[in-house]
Amino acid sequence: MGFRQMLNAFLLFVAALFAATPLLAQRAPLFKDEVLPVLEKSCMKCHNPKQTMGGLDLSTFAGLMKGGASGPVIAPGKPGRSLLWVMVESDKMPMGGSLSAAQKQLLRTYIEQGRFPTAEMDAAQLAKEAARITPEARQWWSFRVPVKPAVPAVKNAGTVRTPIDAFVAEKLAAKGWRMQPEAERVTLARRLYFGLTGVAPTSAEMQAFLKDTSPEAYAKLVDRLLESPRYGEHWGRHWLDIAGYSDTRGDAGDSIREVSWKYRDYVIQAFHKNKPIDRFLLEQFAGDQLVNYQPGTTPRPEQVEALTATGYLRTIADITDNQTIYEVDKYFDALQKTVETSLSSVLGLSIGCARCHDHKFDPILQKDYYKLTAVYQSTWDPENWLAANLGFGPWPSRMVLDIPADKRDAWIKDVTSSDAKTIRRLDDLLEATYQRFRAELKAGRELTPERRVELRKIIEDDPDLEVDRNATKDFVSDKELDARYPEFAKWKEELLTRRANRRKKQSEIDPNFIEAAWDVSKTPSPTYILQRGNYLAPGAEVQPGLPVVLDDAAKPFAFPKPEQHPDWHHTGRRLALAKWLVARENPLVARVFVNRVWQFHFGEGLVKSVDDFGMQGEKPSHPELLDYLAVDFQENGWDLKRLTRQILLSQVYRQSSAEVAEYLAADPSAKLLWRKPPLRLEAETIRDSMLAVSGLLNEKMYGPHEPIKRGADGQWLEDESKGDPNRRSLYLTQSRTRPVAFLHAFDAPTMTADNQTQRFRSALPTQSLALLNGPFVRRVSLAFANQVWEQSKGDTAVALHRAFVAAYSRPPTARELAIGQQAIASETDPKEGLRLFLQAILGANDFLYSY
Amino acid sequence: MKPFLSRRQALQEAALGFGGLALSSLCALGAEPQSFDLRPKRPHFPAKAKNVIFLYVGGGPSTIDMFDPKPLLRKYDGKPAPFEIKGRALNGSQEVMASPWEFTRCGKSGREISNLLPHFQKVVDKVSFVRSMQTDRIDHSTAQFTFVTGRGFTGFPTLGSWVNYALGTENQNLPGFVALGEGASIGSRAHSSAWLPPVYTGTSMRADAKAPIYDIKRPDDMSGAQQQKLLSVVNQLNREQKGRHPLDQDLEARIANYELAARMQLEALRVADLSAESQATRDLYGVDEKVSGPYGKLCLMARRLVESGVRFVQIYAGGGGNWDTHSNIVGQLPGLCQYVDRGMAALLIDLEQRGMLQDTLVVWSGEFGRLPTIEARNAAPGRDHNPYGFNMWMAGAGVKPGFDYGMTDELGYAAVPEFRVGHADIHATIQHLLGIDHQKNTFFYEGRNESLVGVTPARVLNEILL
Repeated sequence: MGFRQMLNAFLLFVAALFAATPLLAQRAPLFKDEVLPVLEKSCMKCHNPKQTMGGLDLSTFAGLMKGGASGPVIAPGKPGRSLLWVMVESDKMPMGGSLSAAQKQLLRTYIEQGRFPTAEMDAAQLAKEAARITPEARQWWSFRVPVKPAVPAVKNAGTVRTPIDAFVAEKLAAKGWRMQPEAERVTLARRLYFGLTGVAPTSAEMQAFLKDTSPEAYAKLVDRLLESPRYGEHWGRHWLDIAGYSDTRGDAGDSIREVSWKYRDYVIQAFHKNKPIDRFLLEQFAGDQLVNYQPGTTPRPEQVEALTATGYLRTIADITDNQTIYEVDKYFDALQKTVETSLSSVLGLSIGCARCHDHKFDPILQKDYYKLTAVYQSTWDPENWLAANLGFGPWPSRMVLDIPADKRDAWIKDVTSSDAKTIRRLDDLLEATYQRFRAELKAGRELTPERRVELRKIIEDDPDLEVDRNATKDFVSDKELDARYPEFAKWKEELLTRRANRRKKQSEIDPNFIEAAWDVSKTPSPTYILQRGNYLAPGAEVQPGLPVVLDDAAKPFAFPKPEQHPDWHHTGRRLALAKWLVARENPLVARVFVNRVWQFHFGEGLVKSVDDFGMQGEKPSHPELLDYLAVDFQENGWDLKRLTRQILLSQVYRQSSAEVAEYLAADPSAKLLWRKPPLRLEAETIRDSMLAVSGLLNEKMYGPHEPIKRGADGQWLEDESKGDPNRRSLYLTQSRTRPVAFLHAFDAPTMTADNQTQRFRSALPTQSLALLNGPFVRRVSLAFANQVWEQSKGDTAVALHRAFVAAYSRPPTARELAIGQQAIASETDPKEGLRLFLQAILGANDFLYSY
Repeated sequence: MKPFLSRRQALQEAALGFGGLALSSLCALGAEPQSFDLRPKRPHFPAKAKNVIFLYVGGGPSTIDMFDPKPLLRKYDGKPAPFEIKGRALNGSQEVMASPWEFTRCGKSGREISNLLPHFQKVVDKVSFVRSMQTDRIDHSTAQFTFVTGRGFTGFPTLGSWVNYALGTENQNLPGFVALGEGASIGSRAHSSAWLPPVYTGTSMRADAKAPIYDIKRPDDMSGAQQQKLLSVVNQLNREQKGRHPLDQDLEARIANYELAARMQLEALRVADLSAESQATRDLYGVDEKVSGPYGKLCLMARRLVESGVRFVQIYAGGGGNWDTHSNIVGQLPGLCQYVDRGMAALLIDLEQRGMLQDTLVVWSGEFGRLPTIEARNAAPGRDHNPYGFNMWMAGAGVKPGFDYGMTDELGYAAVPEFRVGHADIHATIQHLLGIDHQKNTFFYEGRNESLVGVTPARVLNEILL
């Protein structure tokens, strides 16, 4: 053996030490680092989440502890009584092979000394509970059930119209301050239109309001706008922010969620029809259980709405559809994000902090977090995962298949047939080929006939082809590729013929899908406290429960026992939780919701940290007012329109936004509500109002998301070739990675984070660029100019007057008129000058703010 | 890190008011709304690097075929590996495949670089390799999320956002964080600010002299004079309106933003105009070459951006095709290497010639590498993902030239344990070079002080620093 060979042999030995079987010291092996790799290699071909042979899934700790059809496979500390050990020791498993001596030893040591959930762990948790959840902790303001306070009697009550005003005036009076007088009527009406409908008023609407000089004119307008479908859309948009709604899935290619819009429509309709909010929350958290939906069946007509509502639990970014890899932690992440987002939105607590450890500031224990997780585990069961994909992937998926019962089996057979799979594959191949060719051309590489054959071969050889169905086609279109390479036409023809044949078979079946949540089993896998949030380091097992600090110490909340309800198709866990959420005794939910309504109309909540009512959050600026509204809301049937009316009829809301230098210096954000703070409009309100002002707005409600496309400079915008570009913004496809540029510039959320309960109202130069150069504003200004020009028959003074009334609901001042006249006169084509000026009107601050 | 100026001060200097005012509850501490802007901020300690150019090669480049030759692979070529190679459960293969390409010993450091990278061979002395990278993620999206955000899931801010949040940027007429090119499978989330204020999101730019940023180009149907007039009219209308709200500082910032937008328009178009470069420079980057041109342009544009004061530039190298060489690696990798080789080498040479390399950090990495074994399920073989051991490199500001840190085993399979380097270590090191303490660069979000590194143990790789 030469030196070099010896060296190689030595290095090889060293490398083997590092890379292969770990050396076993006298300690318990770790599940993740040592045990799992052995199971992965030798057992998981048959015992995995998809193919649980013998009912056993060894990809997770919970699966290992759960055992299979023959019962548990591990008896902690007792290898001789552990089926796992008995089977591998005798070489009965793995089938057709055997473990090495070292691997066997590892498993044996693990069973003998490994860390398993024990009674001591439970005891330790209880001890922590006693230490952290003290009577004092229960006394935190937001954990006490609100009591309706008496309305203060205010001296000098000139500005007090409603109880709300009394609470606010009292605080102001303490400083010797007062509210502002009522805003001017035009300002007030615009405020209502923006605040309730999210669209600027038309000239005619404003005229009608100004004509009505009765004392009830304002209240009548409030009522009228609350009944407008625009109100359902505008409030719906806010709730969709809170729910974290998106039309894309957030997976690798950020694929489109084909039927997400049904949940969006449910939300809009709920607000439009004034569904009581307690019912609204019950349906979203547990609609399936509310109507006792039987999974795998066609829903009865009266079940459809409640099932659609559970779309609330399907909004988080989901990367669990890549099934080629056993990364079970993705499932846990999706489960946990759903728990965190859905609950923090109504509880106003940062429960996510307790995923990895007890909450540092709030009395929320890690155990509490996992008790809540257990409530959801019957739906999002990491041991029994439902794929997100519709049609293109495995079936069943998390779509409710709403189809005549007699056609159901035939349809499922059809979509899961090998023929269907082949066609999906062909579909993928064609799309991938286009994309690949496009990329090659873009990179400047020659596409010789040989190279083209080679490329296609590469694509065909790739078993887990990732196809981005929304990829940009800006460089060269599919059509051009067809023309350039004749084989494309041939491939396409082949595919289309096969598709067409298949369509014939299937044409009479067109199911209605609902992306819903339901319990996949009445006996979900157990939930463990995950140490440091790591699913491979489970601690004590927990049962569904409430956070201790919110629970009744004397009589803890009891979740139902599904085995006692044979007629249930579910565990009843989420329904129980939802009923607790909307119970009179719940100290948080009504407060949090009422606060969000306040925030919606004032820009900030009475509690400014709208998602954090805990100890790190801000305390309410007007605690009595908050409690008054919360209790009143509960006492009056959780009636959102009633609550909104109360707020909007108050002097607090109706006062002007005047700048009082003294107050401004002491309280710049008007925390004390000494004025109605001006607000920069949200992205959607700006866009929708521009469409309305220019006469383009299509008020059609509901339905599938409007398509978007990539524009010439790469930005995403409305696709007028495939849809209507003039519908309200919330009907445009809302993508996590391809946001419509104009909306994105004005801080519309992309849901890159889980949800967004507060809009940024930033002032960025990119907004100015969008208003100067953006294709949307150019398109709108042209339509606006055409309309005004026609109406004014070329008289520029009339045109300017009309334009100001349309955009700002008021005539121009003399100076504004002069600026306009000058701008128009300086262009040779006055219509072009008018367009330029109208673009300026739409891009100026007067249009972007509500006062 | 808190900005040095109060909100009020920030707004009074409205000409610099390049920022977003967040609602106070997004930063629940502190009574007054905190201001978030891009103005330059002092680092925690003196910095070696002022700017970063991050050459991000998504898809899993085969670093054992590019930078990390393993002679032992030849011995086992076509034979089972002498120890277990873990692959994905689907396509585990134990059959070793030697690198199909020759390597040449290069430069004073004498490191062997694949002949697929003739230009990079000439600049290898300028870079420091980290040869013992490891990640705990085996599929593209989670590994990419990990590499840019520190977490294997969607929803967290990216490295460039954190850097802009901490340091701001030098040129207020350009974005502080620019993303060039395409090719991250996680799309724009690879440069998103997630829950950091939107002002820290990476702006997509293109090497297109006419339209490098959305809405930067004057519309075709509007003349320059008309645009001037539009700006002037908007300004007059805004002044009129401001007269009705004299104390409102947001309005002042918005008025200034129009001026700023006009300056950005000039500045961005100027930076994107590569024809302003000398022929020698254009040739260096190969911008007129067919294969290397597209990436060369991106690299040249990155230099121009950094030269103009942009803090962080991230270049995606996916536009040329697919680094995810599961099949036919022999056919594919040469083209991919040719696509990036010239541009990345030129960037180092050019930066050095201009004296910019000393305060510009250049980082090159993918989300993982590829296995030394064959992925033979396809007719033309390739290599599967390798998160256990791969190479990345850094050069410039404060990084030792010609240095190697760590190693993989003799097959190039797994990082030798005592040298293991993870994404968090790289994040700590990059921030350290910029004068940022990775534990202090935090943002209050959902009840906790979040950072890029989070709870992942991280250390600054002092060994590779000057």
